[in-house]
Amino acid sequence: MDYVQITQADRLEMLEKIGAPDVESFYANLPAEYRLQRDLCLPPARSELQLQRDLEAMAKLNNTATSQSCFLGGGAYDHFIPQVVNNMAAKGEFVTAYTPYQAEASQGSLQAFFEFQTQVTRLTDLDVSNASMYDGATAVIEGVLLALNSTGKRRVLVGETLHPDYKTVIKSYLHDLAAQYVELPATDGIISTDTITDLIDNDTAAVVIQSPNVFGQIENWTKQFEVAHSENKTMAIAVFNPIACSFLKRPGACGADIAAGEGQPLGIPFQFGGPYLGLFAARKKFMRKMPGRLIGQTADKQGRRGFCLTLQTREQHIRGAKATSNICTNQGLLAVRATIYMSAMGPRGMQNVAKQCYHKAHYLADQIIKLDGYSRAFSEAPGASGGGAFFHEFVINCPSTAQTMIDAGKKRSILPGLCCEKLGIGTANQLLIAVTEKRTVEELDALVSLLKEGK
Amino acid sequence: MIDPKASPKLIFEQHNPAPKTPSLDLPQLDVPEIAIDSDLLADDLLNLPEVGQLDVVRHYTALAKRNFSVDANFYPLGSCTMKFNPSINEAAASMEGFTGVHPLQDDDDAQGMLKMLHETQTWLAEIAGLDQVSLQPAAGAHGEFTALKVIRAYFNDPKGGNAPQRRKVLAPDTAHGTNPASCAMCGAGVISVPSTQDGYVDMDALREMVDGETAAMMITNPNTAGLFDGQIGEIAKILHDAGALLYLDGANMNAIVGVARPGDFGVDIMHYNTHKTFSTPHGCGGPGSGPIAVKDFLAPYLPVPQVVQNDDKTYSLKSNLPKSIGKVRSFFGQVGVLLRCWTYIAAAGPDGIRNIGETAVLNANYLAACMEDRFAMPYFSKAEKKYCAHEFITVPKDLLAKGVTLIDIAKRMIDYGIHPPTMHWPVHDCLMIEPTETESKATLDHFIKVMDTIADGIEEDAAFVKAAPYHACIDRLDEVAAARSPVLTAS
Repeated sequence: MDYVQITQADRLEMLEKIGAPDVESFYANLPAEYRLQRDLCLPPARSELQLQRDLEAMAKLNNTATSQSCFLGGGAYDHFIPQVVNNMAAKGEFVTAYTPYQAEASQGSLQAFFEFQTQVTRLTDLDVSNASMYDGATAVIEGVLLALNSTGKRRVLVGETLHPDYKTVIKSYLHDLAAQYVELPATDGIISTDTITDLIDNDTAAVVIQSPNVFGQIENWTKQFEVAHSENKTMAIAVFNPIACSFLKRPGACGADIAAGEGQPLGIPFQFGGPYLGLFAARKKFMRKMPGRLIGQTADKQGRRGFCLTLQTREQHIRGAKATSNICTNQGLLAVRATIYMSAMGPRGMQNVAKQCYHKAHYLADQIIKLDGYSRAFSEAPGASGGGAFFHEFVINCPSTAQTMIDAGKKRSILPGLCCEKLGIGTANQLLIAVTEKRTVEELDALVSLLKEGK
Repeated sequence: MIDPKASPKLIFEQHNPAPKTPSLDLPQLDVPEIAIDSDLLADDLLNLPEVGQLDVVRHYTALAKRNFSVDANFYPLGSCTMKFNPSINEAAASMEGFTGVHPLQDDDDAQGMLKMLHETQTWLAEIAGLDQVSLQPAAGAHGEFTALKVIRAYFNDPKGGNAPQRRKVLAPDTAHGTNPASCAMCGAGVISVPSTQDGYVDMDALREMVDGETAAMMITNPNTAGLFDGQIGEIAKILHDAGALLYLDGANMNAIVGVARPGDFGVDIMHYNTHKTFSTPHGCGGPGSGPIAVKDFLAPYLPVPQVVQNDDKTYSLKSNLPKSIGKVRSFFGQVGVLLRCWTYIAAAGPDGIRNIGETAVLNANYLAACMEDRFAMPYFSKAEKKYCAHEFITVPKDLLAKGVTLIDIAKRMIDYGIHPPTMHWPVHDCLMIEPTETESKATLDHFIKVMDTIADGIEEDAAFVKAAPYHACIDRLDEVAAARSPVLTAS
């Protein structure tokens, strides 16, 4: 099935109108030696019924996280998705529209993006947001590039506690540029301000800190960014989790100049890692240096409020090599999803999600460390601002390998967490456990039993 | 007085705390509450509206109605390949068996996903006539960037290209804006290669420009003017003789799928836009997916992880590739998009893929032939048998001479329920029209009539057309004012 509606009779009529004997004529410029003289080596065409069967069969080969007790995090979290998000975001008018270049034919997506931008600025306590980046990692590197371009400085200090994929992406991007990647080593699971003080200098373009960080620990952005700002022009980049922002201190309030994060927790399913949603917000003075699409409010001739793409002279289709970024296609439909999620959940709902994540994660951690041989990887220092507190994810030292627990979980449909060694953030005996509002106390207790018996 | 054309209220203007929202409906917390240091907490509740679920549904339904889309409208946006998005593709991408796989689950829990991805990359390699594929890039521009990184890594490798001085990238003056922007992000200088009057690469200029510092040339073929550049083999030879590589921007692959393969005409590395060629939907601007395909000698530098098939027919993710450029995004890639791509290629099969290419080109030539009398075309001529590929450009000089602008014509098309084509690119004052293969002859004929009617209207009363649109959800918007004093968030 190729969805072509042109019949053989149409074809002949059209060729006659064009005055060409056959379709081959249109390819006359392509020398015969470059033409494929055989059929492509692909499986034969399938009917839709056959496709449905094949898709079902292939889907069954996956043992999904969402059909089990899922304690996997590491940058993608198993949150509740209200059905209204799926239904509204599946509308063909959103799914099959393109970038809203023609404002009068695209008011729906433009208004949705304008609302999205507003929501993201309020999540982050910053002034301006774009209409999305590819994912969290690319949002962070775009922030780093903005800082390099804006400050003219060359060093980038990156917290060791940043997600390893994000670190790899920053390194890959910076590799061919005149920029230096410097890692801020962690102390007991967080980045101490002394470490930043030691490594910062007047050539530092940005300090990048994730909180809650890859271990789930809450960093002290306020103090860290104070140190970042002790150097003239150095920018503070906060890598944030949007669910945490409904409960914990927000990037802007802590002094961040740029906030970049992964929007997956806002109503986006796992999908094996994508498509996800890059969130990007900044202080107003960086507005004209922002990457990606920006939607602005305007009016029609009658003074009615409307929306359009704006400040396009920043973008590649106008500016070419001098553009603020090469991004063209973004994650529009995921931004629509996130917008609907935030509208459906509301501020109290999102805070409820965050609180439940927090309390359930802490209950679970408390139960686990009561077991023989288990302990938290990082010390807890209640009361000390930021020290040792975690949000909804934590690292546990196990008496045997994390993989032993993961294998033991398979028989009980429990995914106990991620092996820190495999993720590149710790040892083979460390397990990174994430807890969302979806986990019930019975599931938490079942994981505790598994760890107790599984070692 | 209520204006019937008033824009919907913003969601922020609909704040109305309802007794029940799905979120507050979450099951009661079933564990004890644990104290949290108040220093860590935000000072206030998020400043977002609370809206009842019916009003949420009404709001987004109202917004959806204010969009043109392929599902509702002919959308001949040149260079964007706005083809039909089959329903089965959406169904595939929303199956729990696929959506529910966490990106870091063990390989043996994700065998269906890995099989799908492995087949997709195998098929994309075959369609390209190249050897290896990386599915990681998130979009076309991201694919360009990734490919340029791969090229750089190859030349930097003493056991590979071993020519670190090769940093210059050539691109025709008609290239997509993303080409130079991607070069800049890789720290590569980009040099513009002029085109001839006929719209092809100026070969003499190219020969002069290629030297020992040239890493690659980025080319789009068929090019952005909608023409097959038959010199492509010679272009490849010039580059290869000089030790440089040929990169294909796959934006226009819809014209040649199943008919010709880039690897067969000298391309070393290319990107696809699955959201163009393989029907994955554009979603108001994304998500796309920009897989890259390469010849074997470039494969060691591709991003990690890669999907491999093991001897026992199972699949694994492989990350230990020491020469890899690393990662260009988190996790694997735009997997939900790639699943739609798989579904589309699986449905089409080899005959279907070829028919897609040929019909896309037939539809474009038919439109061009029927429109050229009134819409002047610099490169197409039925009489001279100068044909286009899957898209064509018109510079409607006669109509513009009546006092209308290109924007006026575009906005008038909206009145007839047709999404305007790409404008002012690749040349000033042009419309770039790409019908795609999925449109019926009836739709094409209707479009031709609409364009005739618009041309008639301009000849009769240009002033009227200048105030279009009349039948859109809103009158013409002042985009200049939006940029002059930007308002990017609700107050």
